[in-house]
Parts: sequence; C-alpha cells; structure tokens
Amino acid sequence: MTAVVNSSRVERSPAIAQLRRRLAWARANLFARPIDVLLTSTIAAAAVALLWAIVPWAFIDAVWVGENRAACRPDAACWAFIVNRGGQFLYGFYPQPERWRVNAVFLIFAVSVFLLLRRDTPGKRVVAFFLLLVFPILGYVLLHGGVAGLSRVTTDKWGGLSLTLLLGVAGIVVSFPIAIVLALGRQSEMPLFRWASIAYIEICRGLPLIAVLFMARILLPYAFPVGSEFDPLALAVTGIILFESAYLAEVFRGGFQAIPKGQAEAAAAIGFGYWRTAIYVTLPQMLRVVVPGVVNNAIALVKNTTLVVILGLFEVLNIVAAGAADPDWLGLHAEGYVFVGLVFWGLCFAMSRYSQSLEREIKAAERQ
Amino acid sequence: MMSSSSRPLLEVSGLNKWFGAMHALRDVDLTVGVGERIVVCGPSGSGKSTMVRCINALERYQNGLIRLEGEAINADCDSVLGARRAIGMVFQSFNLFPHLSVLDNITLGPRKLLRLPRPDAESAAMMLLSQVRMEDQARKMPSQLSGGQQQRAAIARALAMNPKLMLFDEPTSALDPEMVKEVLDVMTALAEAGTTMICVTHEMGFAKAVAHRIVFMDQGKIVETADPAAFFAGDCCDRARSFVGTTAGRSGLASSS
Repeated sequence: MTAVVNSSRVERSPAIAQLRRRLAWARANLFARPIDVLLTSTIAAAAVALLWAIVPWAFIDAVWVGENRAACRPDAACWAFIVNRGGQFLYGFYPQPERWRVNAVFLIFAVSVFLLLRRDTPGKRVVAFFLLLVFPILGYVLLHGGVAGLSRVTTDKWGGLSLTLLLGVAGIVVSFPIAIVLALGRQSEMPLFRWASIAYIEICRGLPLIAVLFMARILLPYAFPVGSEFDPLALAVTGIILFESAYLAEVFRGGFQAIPKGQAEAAAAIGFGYWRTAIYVTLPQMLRVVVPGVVNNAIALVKNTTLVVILGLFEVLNIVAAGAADPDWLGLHAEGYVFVGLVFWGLCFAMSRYSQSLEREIKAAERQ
Repeated sequence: MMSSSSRPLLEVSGLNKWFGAMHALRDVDLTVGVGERIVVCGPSGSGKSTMVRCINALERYQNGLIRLEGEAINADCDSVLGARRAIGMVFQSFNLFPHLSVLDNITLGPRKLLRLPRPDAESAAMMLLSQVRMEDQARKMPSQLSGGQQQRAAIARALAMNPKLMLFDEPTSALDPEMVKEVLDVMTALAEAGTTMICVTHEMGFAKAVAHRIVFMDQGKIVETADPAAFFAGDCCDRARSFVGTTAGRSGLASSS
C-alpha cells in the first residue's frame, strides 16, 4: 500500500517541480511589478488579436483546392491558386515533360555541395573541380538541351523558383573566384593590376544593380550592330556577376586585412613566393573569416534577383505576380505575395542558419 | 671557433636603411662563418631586429650588399626566395599558421617547396618534433599550445627546410618567464649540434653560454664585436658596459638555468 503511494509520488514529483519552476520564472520575468503585468497582458492581447485575424483567413476558412477563382471565398485565403500553379511557380514555362532536367541539375548541385562541405570526403579536389568547371557547362547543357537527344528549351522558358536559385547560385559561384582575384589585385604591388582592380570595384559597387540591368537592356543594343540579339538570361547573369564580384571583393579584402602581418612574413621566411603564400597561408585563413560576410551578400543577392523582371525574366516573384493577373485567378495578390515572402524568408533563414553552423564548425576545427 | 672554412657563410657589408627620415641601420658590416653563433644585443630601437630582417629580405634596405655563400641576395625574386629557403627564421610572436596542425605547419614548406611526399615530410617532421620535445603535440592546433610550445614548434618549422643559417628575432621576448627556459634549452641544444645562428636576444646567460661572438648595437650601428668573455668583463665601450649592467638581473636568472 505504502509502496503504491510512494511510487505515484515519485512519478508525479518531477512534473510538478518543472511546473513550479516555470511558474516561478513567469512570476519573476513577466509579472514582477504592476508595470510588467500591464506590459505582458497588453502584448499577449495584441498577439491574440493578430492570430484571431490571421488564423481563420490563412487556415480555417482557406480554400486549398479549386480550378479557378470561382472556388475561392471572398473573406479567406485561396491557396488553391498556389497549389494549382505550383508547377509554374517552381519551373516557369519549362515544358512539363522536361522538368526532370531542372530537378536533375539541382540534385547534382546539392549532392556535390554536400560532398564538398562534408569534412572527410575523399578526393575533395575532384569535387571542387567538377563544381567550378564541369558543373556550369553540364548544367547549361542539361537545361538548354539541343544536344544528345535532349529537346531545346530556350532561356525565355526558364522561370520561377528554379530561375531564382539559378541566378543566385551562378551569381555567387562565378563571382567567388573573380572576387578573390580582385581582392588580391587591390592589394597588389603591381600598379596596373591594382589600379584596374580598384577601378572595377569602385565603379561596379557604386552602381545600383537595377541600373546595371537597365543599361544592359537599353544601352547594350546601341553598342552592337542593329539586329544583334541578346539572351536576356545571359545579360542578367552577367550583370549580377559584375555587381556581386565587386561586393565580394571588398568582403575578401576585409578578410585579408584581418590576418596578422606575421603570417605572410612567416610564409616568406620559409621561402614561399606570392602565390604559395596566398594559396596555402593567407587565402585559407581569409576564407574562414569571411563566412558571415559572404552569406550576408548571398542573402542580399537572392533578394536582388527579383530585379531581373527588367529584362523580362520571370523569377519566382514576377511569375507569381503575373499569375495573379491571369483571368482565372484575377486579383489573388495577397496569397501570391504571402507565398513569395515565405519562400524568400525560408531561403534566407536557411542560409543564415547554415552560416552559423559553419562558423561554429570552423571555431571547433581551430581548437580541436 | 669553427669559422675556419675558406668562404664565410654570410657577408653583410655597408648596410644602410632608413625608415623615412630615421636612419635605422648605419654602415653595418658583419661576417658569419659556417658553424658560428652570433648573439646580437643592444637597447631597444638599436636596429637589431631590422638588421636580422634585412638578412632574409623581409625588410628592404637602401644601401649595402648581403651575400650568402658568396651569392648576392638582390632585389630580384629568385635570389631572395632562394636565400629565404636556405635561411630559417624564428619570430618573436611565433607566427605559426593557425589553420594548420603543428605537423602541417612543419611539413608545409618541405611538401610545397621541396616537393617531399607527405609520408617522408611527416617522418622528418616527427624527428624534428622530438628534437624540440614536442612529439606528443604533433596533431594539435597552435591555439591549443602554450607560448613556449608554439615557439618550439616554430623552431621545428624553420629547421624543416634544412637551413644553412638560423635567425632568431627575440624568440623569448613574448614568453612568460617560466617558458623562457624550455625555448632556450632547445636553442642551446641546436647550438651544441653546430647550427650556424644569429640570435637577437636579451638573454645574457644564453649569450654567455652559447655565443662565439657578441655583437652590440646602438642607434643603428654595430658599436662593438667581442667574444663573450671580453664582453661581459666590461672590456669594451661605456655604452655596452652600462647595457650589461642594466641586464645583469636577467643574466643572473638565465645563467642559473
């Protein structure tokens, strides 16, 4: 009999102790003084009111399935629009039977990035070589087709989230080596190389991306014979790389300056020349320092890709906005923008979390 | 003295350097034979470090000629890089590469410059590490080591290139007092093994025990060159005598070790 009482007490007591701790915490932090009580209840009421407004609109009354806007309710979200158009938001006007090619490109990219970042992958150099030199060509061939039995899909058909990611990835990956060369150039003792780097960085960094894209569209045709055709996607990628490499170069320069002078001197004392010092001593240390700066730039770039609408490209924001102008789904702007907002927020939050884990890993590796 | 070979290892002649208007080195001449051990001392700002840094061209100079085994170390890239390979240097602030393990710090030069395969470079590095009594620290990162351990690893890194000459630029000045001895012991062992070295230091006990010659500098000039016995007997200029007087405390500490 006593044993039963005892055991039930043992079972209950940790839960009770935890509840007590939580109550004590709330009393100390939320309700300590009258002003705290007032603030806590005001904020709680505001939060409840906000949820009261959002939850029924977004979830309870929302419509998830339907063929056109006739299925929607005037007072609630109509996610049927997003569900119905999901394929287009992801792939743009890429023909349905060929969409596996887009998936394949992103799968190859994801796998090789994963292999590159994992700590003990054998033959990392091969993976890096593949990613930087083979993958861009392979990816283009797969997406564009026209060879090896793949049907041709011209770049004006590309769009949606896959185009957003393509612009972001191409912007960072191609800008990366260019920016390293520019950052080295800016500190170089060769005047011509230094001046050229400074001029490039200052000019490209001083222009808004939107102006670069406008110029690509409006000024470039004047510089070439009448009738020259420019692929808008090529223009967009070029503009983004011009812009991004200047920004990254300055991030890298900051990273180089964070390395004590003694490091280059120690490398020199061994007998290392300029390139060996850069490759084995200063570059690896610089790259560890600049992770937060690079990710910050990548986040800004992903959001900047929406500007390619100027060149008539439909990345995820523009394709959703265009979808809301479709007679079938006319006027569903709120749902569209909420969806796009969530997509961008998800992308950027993922990058931010990844950068934090990378920073932790680097710190751990140096302490190891 | 072992400098009996026909040709001196290092000849510095007429070395002059200005930092802006400041005349940092004035007509410095110095000849070092194979196996010779020079200790350079003098008050701070006297140009000791600058002179040593000119020898492996870490510092540019306006005037003068430096020859290693008769070959001039010019401004041209090949002669500078060649000379640096043949001259090992140990810095006051260690300057280990923080992103590499102790072992990789030591093997980096041999692997990338001498093109030694990794296993060979590593077994050579382990021998050097046992020489500086660090063999159990090979896999650690520099930030996990004490100052004395870092400096001993830095000495092993410099030795890994098989230098003909070792330069030490105040190797113990950044160390806590209790770590000075472990580094000096390693340097003394190197000296006993016949390593040619030029050592800038304030450790007078080390100088007394190890140096063949003591070079005393003041205001960018070599004021005095003497063998240790004569130098510490105060058998030279006033400036050096007063310097020896002020460093007597240090000298007592280090010579007791």
